[in-house]
Amino acid sequence: MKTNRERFLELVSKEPNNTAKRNKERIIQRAMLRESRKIAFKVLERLDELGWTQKKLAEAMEVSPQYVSKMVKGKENFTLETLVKLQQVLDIPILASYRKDVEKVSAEFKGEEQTAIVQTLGSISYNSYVSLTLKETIRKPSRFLC
Amino acid sequence: MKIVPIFAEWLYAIQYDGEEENEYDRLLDLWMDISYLRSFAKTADIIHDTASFVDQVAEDAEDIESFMDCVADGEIGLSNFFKPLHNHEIGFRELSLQKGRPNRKSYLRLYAIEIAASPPMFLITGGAIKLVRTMQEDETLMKEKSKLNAVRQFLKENHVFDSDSFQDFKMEQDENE
Repeated sequence: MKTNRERFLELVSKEPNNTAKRNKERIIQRAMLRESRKIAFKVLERLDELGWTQKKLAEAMEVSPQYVSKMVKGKENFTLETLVKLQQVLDIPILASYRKDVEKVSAEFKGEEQTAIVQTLGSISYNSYVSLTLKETIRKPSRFLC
Repeated sequence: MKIVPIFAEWLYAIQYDGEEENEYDRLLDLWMDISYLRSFAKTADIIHDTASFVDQVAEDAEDIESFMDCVADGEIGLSNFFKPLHNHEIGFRELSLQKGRPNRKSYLRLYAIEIAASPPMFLITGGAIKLVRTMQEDETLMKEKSKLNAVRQFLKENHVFDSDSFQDFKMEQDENE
């Protein structure tokens, strides 16, 4: 007699699936993706301020509208060349946000907590920094870190 | 519709006809799409701070990613994430409808059906950004409820639940005692 579990498994697709792999890759790239999202938000806000469409931005940057659409989703691993072009065309500061983030963290946490964060940041390697990321280490010290 | 295995043998997701991705991949992609989140926030009357909302949703989506990564590595169980959709549900559950959220304050919901309780096995049918108290208050959420019921019906029609299921449940209970 088959169990529910066995009957269910008979319905499951046998095609290979890469969801877990993609999930892991996004976690590894988390620090980059967070920056990409911040840039996307800044760009969208600026387009509204200027009354520009994404198509107009594409023309001004001499890139395809498809590329701009990808950019404003916040998943693009921008090149330095693109970022420089973007801040020139839109006249907004995009680069050098790192110091601002560190200052924000300093303002949010005081005393021993701040010392612990600084020690944590000082003791983690680049690779673990990439996987844990600054914000996760600070704001969510234990949640969902297995 | 297609049932896709997404995280080890614990978690599965539906890939609906006409969709390029399964529901987990589709939703995680959407919940970190700044263009989508910003537009969503601007059309929702109750969101007053678009930037904070966008930031919070994306962070919550990251939490789901981290949680599922732990699940994939077998270091944490899915029953820590999914809870019955109907709070009063106790005892024997027949393909129980479930909701999952990364934290109590999160707007994000993943909807799933519990295939087996021990070890836990779930099938994601969809998900949504929930800004209202009950699902009845929002058309998108009602659509998610319909998806849950349709998938549950599909499973029943394919004999995933039948009269033997109670026996399965009893056996699993006995094994755990």
